[in-house]
Amino acid sequence: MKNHLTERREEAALSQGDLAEAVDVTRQTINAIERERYDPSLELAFKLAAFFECHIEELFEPDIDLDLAPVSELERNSE
Amino acid sequence: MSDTRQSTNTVLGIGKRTYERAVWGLVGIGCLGLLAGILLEEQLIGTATYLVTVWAAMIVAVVVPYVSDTKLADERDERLHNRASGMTIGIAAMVGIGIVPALYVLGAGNYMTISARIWGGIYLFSGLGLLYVACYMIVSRHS
Repeated sequence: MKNHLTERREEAALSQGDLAEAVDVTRQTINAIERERYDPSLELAFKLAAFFECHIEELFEPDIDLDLAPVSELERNSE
Repeated sequence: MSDTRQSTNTVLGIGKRTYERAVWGLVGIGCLGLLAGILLEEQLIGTATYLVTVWAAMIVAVVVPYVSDTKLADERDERLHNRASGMTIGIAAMVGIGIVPALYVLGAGNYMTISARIWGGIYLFSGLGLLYVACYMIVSRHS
């Protein structure tokens, strides 16, 4: 999954090890996420977003089609 | 991409890579000891070397993560382990389901003789299958 973790981490002048320690994972996991070889769990994604004080969408760009009918439209159709 | 490996060191001076190398290194020494014991006809010494080093590896593998300040395994390791285990059991299932019943039926019909070694393989695959089913049931009950 495309992400902006490297930019965020470098902006904060942190090493991969520092970030790994902050969110309680191994440095290899941070490295794998930054190289887009590993998609983090929802829990880790939330932790990273909380650490960088941003929304998950600002960190991660899902490579799936999100062009779905929102729930509000479904409710309208059923009425 | 900056990368400070020093920060992954623990108060024990053990990082993830060192931890993994220590565990697998001990297992490797054990296997070499066993092999050397067979080749040099010193089976007892070989077996003792194997048991000591492999048990040491298991103790290191279990104890070090508890006393370490640094995370030595995380969700990615778990996911890799799960994928590798799934692939292993998938291959074993393909061989087991695809070949073992046919061998058994051919043996029962006297079309072929199942040797003791093949029976060993059949029991191994059957045992592995039963173990998988038991583990799956335990895991599914607890999740």
